[in-house]
Amino acid sequence: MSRQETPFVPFSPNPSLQQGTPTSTAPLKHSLTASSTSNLRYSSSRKSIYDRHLNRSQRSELSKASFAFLFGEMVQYAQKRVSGIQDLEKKLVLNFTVVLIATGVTQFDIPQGWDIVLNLHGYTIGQRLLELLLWRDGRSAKRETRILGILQFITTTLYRSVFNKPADGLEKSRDNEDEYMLIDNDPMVSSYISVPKEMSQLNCAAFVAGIIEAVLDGCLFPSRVTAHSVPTDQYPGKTVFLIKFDESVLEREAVL
Amino acid sequence: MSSTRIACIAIIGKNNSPLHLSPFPATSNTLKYHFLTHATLDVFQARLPLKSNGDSDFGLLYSVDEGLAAYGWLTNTGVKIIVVVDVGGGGAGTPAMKDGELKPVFRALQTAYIQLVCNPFYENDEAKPITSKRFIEEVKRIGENWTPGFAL
Amino acid sequence: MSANKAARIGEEVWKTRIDKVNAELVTLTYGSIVAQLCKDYEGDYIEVNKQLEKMGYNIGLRLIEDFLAKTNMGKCINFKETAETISKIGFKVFLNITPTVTNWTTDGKQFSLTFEENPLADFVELPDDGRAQNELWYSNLLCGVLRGSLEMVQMQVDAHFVSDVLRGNEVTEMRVTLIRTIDDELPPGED
Repeated sequence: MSRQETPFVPFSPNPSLQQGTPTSTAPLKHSLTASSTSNLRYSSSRKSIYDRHLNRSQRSELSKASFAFLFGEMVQYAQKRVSGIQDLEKKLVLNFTVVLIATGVTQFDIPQGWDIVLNLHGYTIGQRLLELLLWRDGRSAKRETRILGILQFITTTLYRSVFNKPADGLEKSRDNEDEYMLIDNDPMVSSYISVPKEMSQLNCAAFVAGIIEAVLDGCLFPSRVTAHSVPTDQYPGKTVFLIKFDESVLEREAVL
Repeated sequence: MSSTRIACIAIIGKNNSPLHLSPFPATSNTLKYHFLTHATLDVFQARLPLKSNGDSDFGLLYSVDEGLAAYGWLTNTGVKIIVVVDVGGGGAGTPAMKDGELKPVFRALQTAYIQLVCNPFYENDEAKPITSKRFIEEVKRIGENWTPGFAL
Repeated sequence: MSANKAARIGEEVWKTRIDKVNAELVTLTYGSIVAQLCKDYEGDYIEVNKQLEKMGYNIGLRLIEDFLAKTNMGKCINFKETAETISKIGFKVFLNITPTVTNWTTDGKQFSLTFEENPLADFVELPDDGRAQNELWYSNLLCGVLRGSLEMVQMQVDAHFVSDVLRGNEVTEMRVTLIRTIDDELPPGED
C-alpha cells in the first residue's frame, strides 16, 4: 500500500470515503508554521501526523501473529512490572503458567493480580479506538443514549472492526437491573494463549474487558467490565464479559 | 470584501474542563473568549436532549453583538468543539454564514483531536489542557487560514 | 532469488495464508507498550531503546518459526537473498509493508532498510521534552526482531536505526550488518 502523494496537504478527511458528506472540500492553503514555538523537529517533507488521512489505516490489516507476539510481550512485561524484582520467594507464589501457541513452547509465570495491568492497557487502547471508530462512522454515527444502543454498537461495530467478527451474544441479567453479559465464544486474545489452568484465561480477556470499559466510559455510560471464563465442550475459550452499569446510567435510562 | 474570519477555537472536554483555547490573532486578549465559550456550555446542555438524531453539528450557539458568533460541535465522546467567528462588524452586504459552512473546520479539528488522542504518549487526562505543540500548531493553521466559501 | 520473485511470494503468502487483524489494534498495542516503558523508565530513553530491542529479540526468536512455517522458505544462499527475503516477504507477511533494500556495502555484509511507511508509528508524536527526539528510537522493537530471528537461522547481525521520520529525519532507515555466520558447532563435551 503506498501513500497517495498529492500537491495539497490534505488536512481534512478524504470526503469520498464518507457517505453523506459534501463531495469536495477545498484544502486550506498550507501556511508555513513557525516552528520557533516548538522544540520538535519536523521532517522537511512536512508530513506531520495530521497530514495523513485518518482513513488510510482503516482498510489496512496486519497479521494476527504480529498482534499475538506484541500481546505476548506486553503480557510478559506486565508480569515483570507487577512482580517487581524477581526474587526467588516471589516465584514461589506463582501458580499459573501460560503457553504461547503461536510460538511453540514458551513458559511464562504469571503472578496474581497482574490482569489489572492488562486491563489498563486495554483501557487506554479502547479510548483511542473509540475516537477512531466514531469518527469513521461519519454522519451515520448516532450518539447512543440508550443502554441497548451502546451495547449493540459494541457487539457489532466495535467487535467487527477489532476482531473481524461480531460478538456471539448479548444477555441481560435476570437478577440485576444493571448487569448485562457480552458473550464471546472464542476471544481472539485467548486463542493465542492456551492455558492449562482455567484461571489464566481471565488475564488475557482482561485486556478486552479494558477495551469494552473504555468504550462505555467514553460514550458516557460509566461502568465496570470484568471477564469471566465459562468454557464449554464446544467452546473451551468461551468468555463472558460482565458489564455492570453505574447508578447514573440506570437513572438516565429510566427518564428516557 | 468579507472580513469574516475565525476569532477563536476552543476545545472543551466531556467534563466541561477546558482543553484548549486559541484566539486569532494569537495576541488577542483571551478573557472574553473564555467567558464566551463558557456561556456556550449552557447552550450545549440545553439543546442536548433535543439532539436525538445524533448529529454532531450544533450550529449557531450564541451570538454576541460585536459581531462574534459561536458555533458548536459535539463529538460522540462528549468533547465539544467551539468555533467563534468574527463576522466583521456586520452591516449591509455582509453575507450571513451559510448553514454548515463551518463543517470542514469542525471535521478538521475533530481529525486533529483524534490524531492527538491516538498518540500513545498523550495522557488522556481530561482535567489538563492540551500541551501537544503539534496539535496547537494545527489548530492555529486551521484558524488562520479559513475564510468563508472554502467549503462547497 | 530475485527481488521480484520475493515480492510475489510475499504478496501471495499475505493474501492466502495469513490471518488478518485490525491494523490499529497492533499500532495502538505497540504504542501502549512504548508509552508504558517510557513511563516506567522515567524518560531514560536509552534504556527504553534497550528494552524494546530485547522484547523484539524475544519475539524474533519465535517469529522465525512462524515465518518458516507460513512461507516454506528454504535456506537463503547469501546475505543479499536474506535481505530481499526480509524486506519483501518477512515484513510483508507480518506488517504488510515492503521496505526497500538500499546502500549495500561493497563486501555485501551491510545494507539499509528504508521504510516508506511504518504501521507501528501511526499517529505517534514523540514527547516534546527535548530528549525524546534525540534519544528514542520508537520502532526499536523491529531491530530486535531481526536480530532474534536471524540468529535462529545461524546469522549474527546487528540492526539499528540511523534515522526516523518521528525524529524529524527525511526517512526511516535501519542499518543491518552481518557480523558472522554461526557455524553449527557442537558445544564442547558432546559428540
